Amino acid sequence: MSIRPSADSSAAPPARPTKNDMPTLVALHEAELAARDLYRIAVDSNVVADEDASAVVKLMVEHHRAYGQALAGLIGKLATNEADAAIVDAHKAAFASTSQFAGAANALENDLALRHTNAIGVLEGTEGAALVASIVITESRHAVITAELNGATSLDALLSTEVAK
Amino acid sequence: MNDNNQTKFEFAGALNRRQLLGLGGSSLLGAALLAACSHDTPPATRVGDAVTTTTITEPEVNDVVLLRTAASLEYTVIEAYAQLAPFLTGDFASAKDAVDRFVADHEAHATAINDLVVSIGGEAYTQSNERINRLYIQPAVEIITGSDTVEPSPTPAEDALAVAIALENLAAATYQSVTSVLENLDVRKAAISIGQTEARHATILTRTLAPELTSIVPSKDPTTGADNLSALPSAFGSLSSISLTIGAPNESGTKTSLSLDTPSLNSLITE
Repeated sequence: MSIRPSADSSAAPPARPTKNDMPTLVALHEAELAARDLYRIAVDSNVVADEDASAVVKLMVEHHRAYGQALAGLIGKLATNEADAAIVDAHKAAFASTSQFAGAANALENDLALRHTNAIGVLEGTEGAALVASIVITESRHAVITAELNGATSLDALLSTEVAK
Repeated sequence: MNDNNQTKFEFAGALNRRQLLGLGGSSLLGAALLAACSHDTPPATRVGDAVTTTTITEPEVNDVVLLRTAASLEYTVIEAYAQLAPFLTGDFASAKDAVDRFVADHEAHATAINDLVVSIGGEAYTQSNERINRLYIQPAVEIITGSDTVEPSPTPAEDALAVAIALENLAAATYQSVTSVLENLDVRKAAISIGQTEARHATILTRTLAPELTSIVPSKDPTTGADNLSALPSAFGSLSSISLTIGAPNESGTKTSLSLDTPSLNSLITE
């Protein structure tokens, strides 16, 4: 992107994450590791029989792992490298279930997209905002794909941002 | 500070630390010798007419400008859909429902963005982006319809969908890119909220054009090595140029490629 704020901008935001940003970024880091672990449960449980669909689930593992790593790189020593236990506990049974997996994955992706969107409203540092924005864009795509895997065909269902299932 | 010193100051400021270190000891020594031998002599007189240069004032890029540009992109996409929809026939006729829904979404986005513009003291912008129209939309439509010099596309429906996907991806990337540049945090959040909807649009259209499950995961054409159309092309939202390949193949079987970039300084809608 070639657009940058004007050099004489009087209140240019900080680039690096501020002290205030850290709790938000740590929470996102742990949420992403939870998503990674949940998709691993789905892979290990063979919830998707189709080989091509299974490749999609494995790709989800890689994406969420990448988000966790990128966020850890941003927060440095404060990175816990631990999954958010509440998120894992809330979804782990569904992620191990063939019939419930896709619906739970769709709810999780919408939940993560919402968490990251809300985070952008509070993050002061531009590097954090840029990273989280790049994650939101792909997690929104994940939401459409998981809706499709869950059998959605209508536009309303595919575009749904519903979190609770 | 006189003009000579001003020049030296600007030159030093233009070098970064690595470049300064890279100058080497010999040149530093040479500079020291020259400095020791120098006199305060005026600069050499110039002969002939020197071209007068005029410095173009860089536009101030603030939240109002970025949002007005985003609004212009929304109108550009709306107008583009009006041109692309007639091509959606045959197997892709059902995509018109998606187009109708997405146009409504873009109209709502444009209104929301302009409400934000006004709320932060700017003037709403309700026209499409002339530069993006000229650089991307009109050439793409011409490649599909054909012209005196261009063969019409044998696959207009598929190409119209490909253009629509590229435009939705462009819109998503634009919002992603401005999110970290905007100063107002509430505006940042609103921008990425819209951007993620554009990404969802792009994904739905991609699945329409490439509905096989194998088209979700990134892959490459084994013959050309080019990226195949994928619903999840990368882990992170990309800000790279968006490649669009459409139209009638030439003698060697190659279609026309366009490269779409998010709005740059020339595309900004200033006040």
